[in-house]
Amino acid sequence: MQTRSRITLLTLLGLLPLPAIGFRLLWLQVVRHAQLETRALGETSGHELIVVPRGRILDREGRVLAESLSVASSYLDLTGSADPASAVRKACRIVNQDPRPLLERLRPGRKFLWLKRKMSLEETARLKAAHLPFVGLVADEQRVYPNGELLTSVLGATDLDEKGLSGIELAYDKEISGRSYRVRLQRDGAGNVLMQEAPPDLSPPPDLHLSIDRSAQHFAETALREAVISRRAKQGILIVQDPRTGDLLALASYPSDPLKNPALQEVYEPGSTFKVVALAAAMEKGIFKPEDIINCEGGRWEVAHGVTIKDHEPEASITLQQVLERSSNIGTAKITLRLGASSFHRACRLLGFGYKTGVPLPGESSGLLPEISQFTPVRLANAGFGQGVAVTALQLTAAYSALARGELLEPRLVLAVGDGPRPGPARIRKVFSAKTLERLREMLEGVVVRGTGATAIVPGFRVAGKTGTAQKIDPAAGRYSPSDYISSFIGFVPANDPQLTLLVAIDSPRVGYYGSEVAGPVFSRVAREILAQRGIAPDQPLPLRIPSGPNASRLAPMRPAKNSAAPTQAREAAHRP
Amino acid sequence: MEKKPAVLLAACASLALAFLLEQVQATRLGYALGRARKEIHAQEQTNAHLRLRLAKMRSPDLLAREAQSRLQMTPPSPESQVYLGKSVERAGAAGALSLLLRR
Repeated sequence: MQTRSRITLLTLLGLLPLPAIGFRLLWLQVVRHAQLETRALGETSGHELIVVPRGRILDREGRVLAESLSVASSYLDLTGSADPASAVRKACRIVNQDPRPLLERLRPGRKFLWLKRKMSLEETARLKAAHLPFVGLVADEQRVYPNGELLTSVLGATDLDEKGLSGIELAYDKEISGRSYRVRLQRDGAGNVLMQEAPPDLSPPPDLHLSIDRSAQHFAETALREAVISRRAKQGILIVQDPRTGDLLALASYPSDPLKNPALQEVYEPGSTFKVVALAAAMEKGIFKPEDIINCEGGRWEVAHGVTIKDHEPEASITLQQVLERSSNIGTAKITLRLGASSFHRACRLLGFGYKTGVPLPGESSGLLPEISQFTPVRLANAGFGQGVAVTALQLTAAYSALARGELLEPRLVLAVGDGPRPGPARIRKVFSAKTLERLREMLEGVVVRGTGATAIVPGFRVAGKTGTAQKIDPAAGRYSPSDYISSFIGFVPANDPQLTLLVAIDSPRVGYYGSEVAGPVFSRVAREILAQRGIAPDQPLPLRIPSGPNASRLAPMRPAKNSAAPTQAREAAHRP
Repeated sequence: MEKKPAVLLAACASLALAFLLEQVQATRLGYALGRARKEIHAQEQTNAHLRLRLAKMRSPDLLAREAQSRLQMTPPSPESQVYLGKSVERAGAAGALSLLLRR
């Protein structure tokens, strides 16, 4: 009995804690279940942000213009921190950052603060090594432009979250945008990752291949910057296009701004560079030939009662060719009036004026081309020499490329998205007959050889082009400003087989203002550099500097011309004082 | 006959031990894999940063600045440029040199 009693006693003693254990289990498993489960999951499982960086932007040779890097951003979690200010100071010291802006944002009850977005690898490593419990790291990406300011106004910018804000970054945001995934992961007690959920797609976004040539862009930007600074101008634009394909090789503006691109967003009155439109249309229609004589009225002509057109140099009777070479406003006005509003308007449309060029950049302007009914004789006469119409620099470049090759092409800025096939040039329409274009090319060559464009000569090459010195409207006075001009030069080279079309426009220069004086030399320099860089052989004799002796400073031909339809006057004109 | 349960027990114990060892090994390999992945990611990041640094150093603006300031180079004048043409590509480096010398 005694034994049995003992067993009973022991059993009872053994069973005694069971109700307490059962109650505790019930408490933990039922009452506090949700809370404890969350806590357990928080310790062993979590989430991680995986970032697939934004696609690259490359130039036509595959050189990087923009690329995104995987970086880390850091934040402060001040939950339970007794002294948040000291925590902020400590963290800022590690990442070499001024703590004051963060301390200003520190409010009672505020637990989350970004410490530093997009940190360098060194900063990330330092922060990791510090093991600060109140600092967290999160995956992020950073857009980097390895060429600095180069092509800024074309590439545009992205915001802090790497979304396109302007330029190509905005236009192709959908195609090259990066992705981020929040994946679940399981950790052990020591914090090591045991299991990780597979993200859906880690393949990088496609690269964007631009038509821009990085070297050409560099030449263009350098020359333009120097010209704008030395001429104390407001701004400048320089465009280089391949007229055979429509490819934009360089699209420079200075000062460069990632949020705007004046080459296609701003319009200006083209002035004398627009004269080719009326002249080409008149020759196409058969009204005039290059050798026809036009009376330029000695430099002053009253086109209507009280409205006088003036030339900068008084001319008597000169040929059509000379009208272009000497840039006579009166001659061009007479030709335009004879052509008529309808034909002139049609020629403008034919060359793409009044339409957007279709270049894939945001905010392109279509320019200002009056309707036929709006062309009074005075407006028509003025429009002939580029007043009362407004164009973008890109429209004008595309039009000259069309005159160079006989076909209007859509300016191409993006060659391909990804490694897909590169489509051919986007042809819009043929412009004028081959005969008209040939005559016009000769006349434009004459401008450089004998006329106002002598400063644009490129040694070794035949150049066809036109100067422009267009007065700007003074918005305050409501009339043309006596001091503000757009000085420009546009042309193509080599004239006999055009491979480059270049436009140089300098806005409001304060040192000199004639297009020949301000823009011509920039054209010459950039064309020479790009022709050499692209390996385009000279087709004219190059001048040779004689190293010593009494004629050391004179220039002499190095060797006879190869395909010489050679305007030998070119060299002489180029070195005229 | 009496040995049978003992053998069975031993076999079960061995199996359990083997299973345990396999689990331990798998966990260890899992950790090693995790570390390797982390290392690869870090190396890839470093590589991307270095590639970009290289691209920055090759930027035309920097090269031009360095060439002019450190090497005292100047852009060539038109008359000092010699066009070797497409024949260079066919001739190779030695051919190019001979072409240059001939000129």
